[in-house]
Amino acid sequence: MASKPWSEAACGLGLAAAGGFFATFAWRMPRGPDPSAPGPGVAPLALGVLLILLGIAVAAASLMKRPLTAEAVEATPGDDGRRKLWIAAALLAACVILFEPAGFMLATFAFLLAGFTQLGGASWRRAAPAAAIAAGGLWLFFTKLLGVGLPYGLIGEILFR
Amino acid sequence: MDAFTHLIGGLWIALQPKYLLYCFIGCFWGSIVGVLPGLGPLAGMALLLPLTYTLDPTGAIIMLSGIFYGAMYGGSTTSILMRIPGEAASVVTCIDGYEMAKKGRAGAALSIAAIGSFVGGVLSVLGLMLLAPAVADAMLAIGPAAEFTILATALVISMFAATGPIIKTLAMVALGLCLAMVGLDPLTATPRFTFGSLNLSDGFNFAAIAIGLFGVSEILMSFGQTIKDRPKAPPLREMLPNRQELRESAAPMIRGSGIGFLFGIVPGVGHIVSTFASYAVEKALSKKPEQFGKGAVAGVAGPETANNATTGAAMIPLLVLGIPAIPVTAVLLSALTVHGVQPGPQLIANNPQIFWGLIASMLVGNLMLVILNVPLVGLFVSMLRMPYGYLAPMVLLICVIGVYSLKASSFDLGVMLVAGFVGFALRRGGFDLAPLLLAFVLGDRIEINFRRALTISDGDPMIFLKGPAAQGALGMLVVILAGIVILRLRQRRKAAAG
Repeated sequence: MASKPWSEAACGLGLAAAGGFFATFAWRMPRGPDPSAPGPGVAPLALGVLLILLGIAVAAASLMKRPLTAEAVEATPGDDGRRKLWIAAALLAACVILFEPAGFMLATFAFLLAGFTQLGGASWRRAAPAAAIAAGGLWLFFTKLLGVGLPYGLIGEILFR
Repeated sequence: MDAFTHLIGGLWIALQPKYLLYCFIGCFWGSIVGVLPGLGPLAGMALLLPLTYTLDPTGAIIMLSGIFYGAMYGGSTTSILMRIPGEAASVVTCIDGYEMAKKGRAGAALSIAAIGSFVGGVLSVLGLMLLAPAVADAMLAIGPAAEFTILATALVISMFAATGPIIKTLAMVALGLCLAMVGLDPLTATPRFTFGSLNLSDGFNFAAIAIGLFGVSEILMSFGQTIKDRPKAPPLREMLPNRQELRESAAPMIRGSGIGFLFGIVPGVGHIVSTFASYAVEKALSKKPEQFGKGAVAGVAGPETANNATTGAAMIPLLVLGIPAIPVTAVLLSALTVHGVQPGPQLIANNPQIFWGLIASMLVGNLMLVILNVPLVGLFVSMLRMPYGYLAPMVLLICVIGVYSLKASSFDLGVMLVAGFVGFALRRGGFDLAPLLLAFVLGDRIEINFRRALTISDGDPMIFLKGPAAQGALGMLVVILAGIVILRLRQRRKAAAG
């Protein structure tokens, strides 16, 4: 898929920053007495420097590109797609952060409720029971059938344990 | 005859009820993940990885392999019915498969895809069975220098086979290798980039990285797509191809098997390249090339066969060399390692029940799939009719649960989240993520062998060029790179002429 020059440039600079991070901390690691016994710092230092150079090269190359064609512009998501993208990303981040403190059932129910209403366009009245059934079903499937441990959360720990 | 004797032993293992059940679970779940856009075989396998920890190694690898080739089957369903590839390797099937569906031959297209997948799967398993023991014997004699050269060659080949400019691919490889170095140094146990964190001392969890990079980023990318057509399942009576279609499929299936097998052995090349190569070959050999793009049967039969043939062939570098040729087999490597089984030249000798049990299971599994996929098309279509706004949260949630279930670690969830966002950003920037994951998986072994080899040679770098194994790997690299360069030059000439 065609990419916008600025997104390529941002990725290039990000990679260069990552390379700088690795090279900086690898510099402080032992690099071994001589080439016959390379230490733990040699490979990450070399790779970090390589990543800096490559990141800068990618960023520079992208800024020298021609402007996007109309076809490439159509391939990028429209306003609605972008809105849903941001919502999905925010919901996922919230679910990850709250997964242990809130517990599986609460976090899952809230995530699916918000997902079905904001991403699927369902009404609260239809989304709530669907989210509750899905959360319960997944709990049974993963804990009882697959034997996977899922968190109770603070409230669940107080009430059920 | 020896191989067939072992195969009989493998069948004795694979046909045990519990292994048949694991194979069925893997194939069924694989078909589902292949059908669902956003959940590819890699994410699907990573999600079931925790379940396999409770199984024995043979059962674990049988189930995970079932998901692998099951997903190859499932991906063709959405390609044919909706022109959306269920997974990346089914992109080519969209071209003629969807056109066949528009002409009312959706059932025939699905059946041809299923039969082709079966033929490709079986022939590649036979190739695996005959070649793998011979390659394993040859690999027993190599030392760290040759192993480094082979691993590095695999990485370089995968770089040239990836999409996009070489400079971007090299950046992905460098990033993957850097990420592999987080944790304790394998030779001296020196903490690297851990910052005192116990979580980071073990390094990044492979499944969290894989699901984030490929699963989460895929869902986020999919919000840009508009799905207009609601698919309809063809009636069961229209599922079978007619005689003409079967005749037109036969030769492409045989050729597709060969093409898929050859590409599957080469690290980094994988299913996408083999399916495109098969399509190009069929079009070049066809007496009616103008039919391609308008519902040519060979345009479905060849690529789908090549797709599944690649699966069996990709097992050779994994099982015999311990090199995951494609990211999906990295999950298999991870599962084997967790069970204390080290893939490599010793696997066939030390764990024959795993190797031959797996081969026999792949034969059984391919048969299961061709029987399953025809009547289950209705179920798959009903899943596809679910609006994406409902499907996406469910898939994301399954990713969260899958990663958490590995070590009950919220840190791993954070890794998955960050990997997902980074993967999304990199894909928007036009980067191919497969080399990143391959480099991440191979990074430790590449570094260990590099340092050991230099210690043995007292710092002389020429050690990496000595010995038949290293020279053979370099020879293969030269041949494959030459082939890639020639193909790209031809493509550029055609584009310039067009």
